[in-house]
Amino acid sequence: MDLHHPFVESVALPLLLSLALTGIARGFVGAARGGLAAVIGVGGAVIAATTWMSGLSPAPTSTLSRLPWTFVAAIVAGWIAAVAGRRPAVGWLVAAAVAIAALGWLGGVRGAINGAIGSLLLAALMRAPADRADAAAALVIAALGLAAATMGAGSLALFQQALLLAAATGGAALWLWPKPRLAFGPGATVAATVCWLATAQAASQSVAIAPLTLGLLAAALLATIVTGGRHAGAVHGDRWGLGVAARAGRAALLRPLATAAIAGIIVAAAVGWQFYGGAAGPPAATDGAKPAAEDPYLK
Amino acid sequence: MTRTRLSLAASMAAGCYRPLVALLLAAAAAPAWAQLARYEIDPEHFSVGFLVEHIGYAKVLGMFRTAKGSFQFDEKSGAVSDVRIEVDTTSVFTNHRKRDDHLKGPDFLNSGEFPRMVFTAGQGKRTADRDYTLDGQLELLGKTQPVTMKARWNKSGQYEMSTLFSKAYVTGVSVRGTFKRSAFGMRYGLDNGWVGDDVELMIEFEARRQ
Repeated sequence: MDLHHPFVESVALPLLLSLALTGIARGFVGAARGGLAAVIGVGGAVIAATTWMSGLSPAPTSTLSRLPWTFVAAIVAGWIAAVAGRRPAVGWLVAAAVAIAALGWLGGVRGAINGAIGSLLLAALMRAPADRADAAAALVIAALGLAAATMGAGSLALFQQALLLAAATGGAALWLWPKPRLAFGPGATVAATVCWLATAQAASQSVAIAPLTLGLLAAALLATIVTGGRHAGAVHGDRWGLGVAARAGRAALLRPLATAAIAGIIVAAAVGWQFYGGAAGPPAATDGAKPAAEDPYLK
Repeated sequence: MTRTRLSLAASMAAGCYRPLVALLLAAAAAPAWAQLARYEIDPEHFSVGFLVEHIGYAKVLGMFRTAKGSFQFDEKSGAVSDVRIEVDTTSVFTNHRKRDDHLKGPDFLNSGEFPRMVFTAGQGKRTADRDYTLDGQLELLGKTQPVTMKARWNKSGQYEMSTLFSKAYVTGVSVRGTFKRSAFGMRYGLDNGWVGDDVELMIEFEARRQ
């Protein structure tokens, strides 16, 4: 088996790592601190799979080589958000600062502005119920959409990176769906969202991806607002993974699916624009004579 | 004329010519660097090609359609110095538009961020009558690594196609070298063997003496 096959690098490895690391971490920190376990799962899988795929350059010069380091920063921010516990504002402030700094490092002033806008998206995602996979579902779908858009825009490296992020987030989310066994929590949401924002920033400055496409993909993250739901913080004195799961029941099963469906519709529009209405344009002919206007030799 | 006057005249003549003789002797013994000339590579006769392995089936042959360069060359002594070849990475061409766009993208050349690939070498080392080794530096993707190129001085002379008004003196050179793209952080497709690590460079040019 080729361990460097794109499917292994971007799907199998991060998915299985995230699933395993989240479960192992849950065993150490306990279900009550499931948010920490999810950060370890998502963060560990993202960093390990990215390093396996493209390496971690000690002196990055290009956008793609800087991206893994922004993931490290995102995971640190997620960790802080997870330990901030009942002070979500602290977690959000740290995450916003990291997002602005990370995207600014990638893309200068414009990147920092995008980071600030992304922080508002993050605030909405952090309000999603921690005992359901709503936020994770929106993140997975948005990451899949980013993967499709970057593939259409011509970067297989960014396509694999976005796919990797979707798989890592999904692997941890399987501990939350169909039956919640821990809280995805603000920590993992912060880590995964900042990773997504950084990947989107790298795509915006590296390939011909339509701004409307990126905007719609970011809007897909807000699908959690539509499905809503009461935050699990309203439940007190419960050990996560048992009692709450019994009460959550259908909501825990169906609401994430509804979130994914809404996000999916928005993502479909985004990807459709990229392929048929945006920067990509019609695919070039690969067989037969090329039109003179497309022949690079004649330009 | 008496013998004394003759000898006096001869010594005077010798004295007059002495400075001229000295000047001629000095010119003949002038050091080789006095022949050093700067050459500019003619963009119309400048080919920069490359070969890279593709999944082991065959190599992809490509070229860069825009490049410029210069060097210093002393034809008398054969000394080469101050070599600079600058390639426009956005001009990559492999006769397949989607592949060219992919090569220009962040997975490979990242032409948007790094539009130039530059080779520089201080002194060339002469290894045979017309063969040289150029131990230089290659700048690519924002990184600089040592790269060695082999050069062959093919021919120098008054250009056969000179016009009535311009007599171009041209030197023709062939250059070959290989570098590993991974040394510059270009790693996509490397670990799974889909795109080779070794990039063979083939450079052919004619340069005009300035």
